[in-house]
Amino acid sequence: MRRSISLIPYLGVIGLLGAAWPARAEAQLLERALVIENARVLSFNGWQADGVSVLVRGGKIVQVARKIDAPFLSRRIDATGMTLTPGLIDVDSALGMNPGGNGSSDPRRRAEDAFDRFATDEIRAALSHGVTTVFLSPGGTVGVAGFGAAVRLRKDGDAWGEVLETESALCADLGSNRRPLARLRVWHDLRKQFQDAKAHREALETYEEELTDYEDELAKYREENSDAEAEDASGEKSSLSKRGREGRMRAPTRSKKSGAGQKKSDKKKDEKKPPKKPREPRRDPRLECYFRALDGEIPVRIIAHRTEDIRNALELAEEFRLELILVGATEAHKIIDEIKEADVRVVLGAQAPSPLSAAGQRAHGQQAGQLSEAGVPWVLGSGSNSNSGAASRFLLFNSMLASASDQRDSLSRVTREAAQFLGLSDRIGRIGRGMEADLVLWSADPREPGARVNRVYVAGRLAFEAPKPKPGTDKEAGQ
Amino acid sequence: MKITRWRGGRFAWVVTLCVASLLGTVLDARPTAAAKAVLVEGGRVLAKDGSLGANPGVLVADGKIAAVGGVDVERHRAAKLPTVRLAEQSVLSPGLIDLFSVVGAYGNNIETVRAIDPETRIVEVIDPTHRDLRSALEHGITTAMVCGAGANLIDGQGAVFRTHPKRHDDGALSLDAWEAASPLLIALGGSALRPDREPSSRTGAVSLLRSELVRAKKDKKSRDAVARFLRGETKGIAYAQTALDVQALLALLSEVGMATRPPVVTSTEVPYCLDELVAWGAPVVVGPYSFDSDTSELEGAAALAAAGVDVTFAGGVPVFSAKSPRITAALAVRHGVPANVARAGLTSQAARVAGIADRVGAIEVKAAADLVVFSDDPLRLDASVLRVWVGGVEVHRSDRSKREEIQQ
Repeated sequence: MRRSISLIPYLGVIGLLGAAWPARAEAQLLERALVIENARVLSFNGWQADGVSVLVRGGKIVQVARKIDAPFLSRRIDATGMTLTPGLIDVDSALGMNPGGNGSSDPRRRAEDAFDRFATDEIRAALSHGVTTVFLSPGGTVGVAGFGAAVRLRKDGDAWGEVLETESALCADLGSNRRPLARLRVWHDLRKQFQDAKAHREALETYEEELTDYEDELAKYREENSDAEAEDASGEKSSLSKRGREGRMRAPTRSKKSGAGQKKSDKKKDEKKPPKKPREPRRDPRLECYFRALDGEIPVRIIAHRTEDIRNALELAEEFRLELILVGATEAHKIIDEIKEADVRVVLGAQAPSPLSAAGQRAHGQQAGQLSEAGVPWVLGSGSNSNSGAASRFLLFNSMLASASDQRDSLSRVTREAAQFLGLSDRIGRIGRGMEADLVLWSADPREPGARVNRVYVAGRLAFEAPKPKPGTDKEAGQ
Repeated sequence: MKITRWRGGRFAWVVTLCVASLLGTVLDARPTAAAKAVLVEGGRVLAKDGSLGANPGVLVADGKIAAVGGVDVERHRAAKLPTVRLAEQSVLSPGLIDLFSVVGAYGNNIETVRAIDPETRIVEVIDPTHRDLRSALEHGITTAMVCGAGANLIDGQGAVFRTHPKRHDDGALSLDAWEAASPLLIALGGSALRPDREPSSRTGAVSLLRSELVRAKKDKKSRDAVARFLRGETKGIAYAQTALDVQALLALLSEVGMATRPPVVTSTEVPYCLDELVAWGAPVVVGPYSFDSDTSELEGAAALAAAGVDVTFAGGVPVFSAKSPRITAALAVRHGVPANVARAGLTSQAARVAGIADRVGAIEVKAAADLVVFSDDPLRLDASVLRVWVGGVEVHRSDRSKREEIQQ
């Protein structure tokens, strides 16, 4: 009886330790290595190799070789007859984003906040077709929509999605399907936002310069005055430098007060007035969202389909020296030389618009081929403008449709090239040592009609496994 | 004597000329006829059952397929007569057929004045020179079936035609239609309900359709389109989208009874009316599928195929892109339809649904030479159309195909 009672504190300590242990650390420590053996590996430009094994540990690819000695207790997957590719990357998706919405233009919105981490059905559908990373645009409005995010479809508890980059790009839409006057207004507003942001940025920079000058002058002024006052002033200056920006905002106010106090004594000794503190411009968080784009740190994605809208976007990029990405670009072929000269990148959307729409009637339907011919870099997404994220499922089909006109490798475009496009090529888009273990096992070459996804790994963990096919059907479908 | 000889010489000269010209014609005749024949060899061929196999050589003459492999092909090959050589990966396919298309008739196939409207003829509104027809042709669709949009219960007679117009001696163009194949469209669905005429409710719709079918059935001598369809003299097609409408329509048609059960066009709720469609026994037209379609809809084709129903595809060109029939078939395959079934659904089975299986849809002797060369399996969406022949005449050749030939 006594003994059993004495065990309780120990058990309690063990329980507490267990509860306090970080889940991910535990997972990494206890996670068994994964070895995918004897797969056919498809990589860029049609290169392929048979009988390749891949060792995954801690969510990353550790080794790619013909023969791997599987570590003790590792999970071994025999992939004989199967094809292994990197997870597909959709550079323009609406996955997990609530469709519709008609909000006002506001750059402060972030796609990450709108992403439904519990949209399990939709996310699993995308995974079941091999998609493991998506770029999400906030969408839902014309004009500036906000910041787009790159999200990896990794499962964490019940929720999905690991945000790789919160502010991957600033997104805007010129509303190509609106009437001419409405489109003019959208363009005018967008340009004004950038103008205001630039002016705001300049005002803030001028203020910073003036503030530095002011501090110097103030210090000089105080040195010139009585010893006691000079001590006070130096004391205050040292606290100024410690407090940083906000401190600096308040400091001159104080010094002004003390300066006011000094005035009477100054008047007695010297007629010289203290320097005047510069006035800080009112901060505008909306306009500050444009700063990173104006600095060229992040690209600006503009949805533009019509020739006029594409021209306006190019003009905007030139005026503000933006790193522009044209999205949609249905009529790109009409001004292909201008696009080439402007040195921009293009994201083509899903299927071309219906031939019955105004844009569709003028569309050439061969943008892909023409852009490639002109040497304009482009990638392909499933289309953030589509009604739902469902289109992400058929990213590879979409890429294959484009390949029919430019004959480039459809798989590379949605893996390696897409990763480069998002600036994530050191982490995803390739099967190589040190890369994230986002891998897809297909029943055959994914471009073959009957190919199916058998298994999908995200960060080395099984994210999707196909239900076993009914006897006979799979064999026939592969013909 | 001199004169006679001279006269005889002149006569002989004329005779010689005549004989020479005759001989020339005779000698010329064989090469001319043979020159018209073209052998398409190399690459692969899409067979009637939808499988892909090595091309035994397809000989095209007089607008028809004269031989598939065999002695004639060997003879043509030996004589080094005109030959089109295909690349190894290429596939020679019968022209694709877009069932339930709107090509050339968009906006003109919706007539809503009378709910029972059997005498409207879609063939009369299709512009043979419409650019949508050309676009469809360049994407490998050589035949289309256009029907009403289901805005009426009996929605007129559809049209089955080639997307390449017929050119007459005087240069005029006309639609190359198979009028005998025009199907009568019988539809049930929300779009047939209107506030300004009967029926305005589903109950009314079923009742109105029943009374019309019963009337036509009773009148054994009637020459109207509904009666002729029920007697099996003309073709028909049944259209409904929701499972409820499919069930009601098929029940109604079974109740009335008809000589031949018409194919059914339906897509969105196939899994929910699968049993009825299987029991009906006629082919089913699904699609158009798009990348936005619900998974349950995309799985419909596979469910039908697994149950032994013949599946074919609607492309919906130009409301959907001209690649839509292939996209629909490729999506169906990704969701479980065997590839052979899907390829047949684009060609031979589609011809059966359109009622022209004896003329197009398969590469076999005596079929019309409506042929398409794809750079790869047409179910692979990265395959492009290289060449199109209609009635043995090349009507489209892609830039890629021309480039490749120059390189060779």
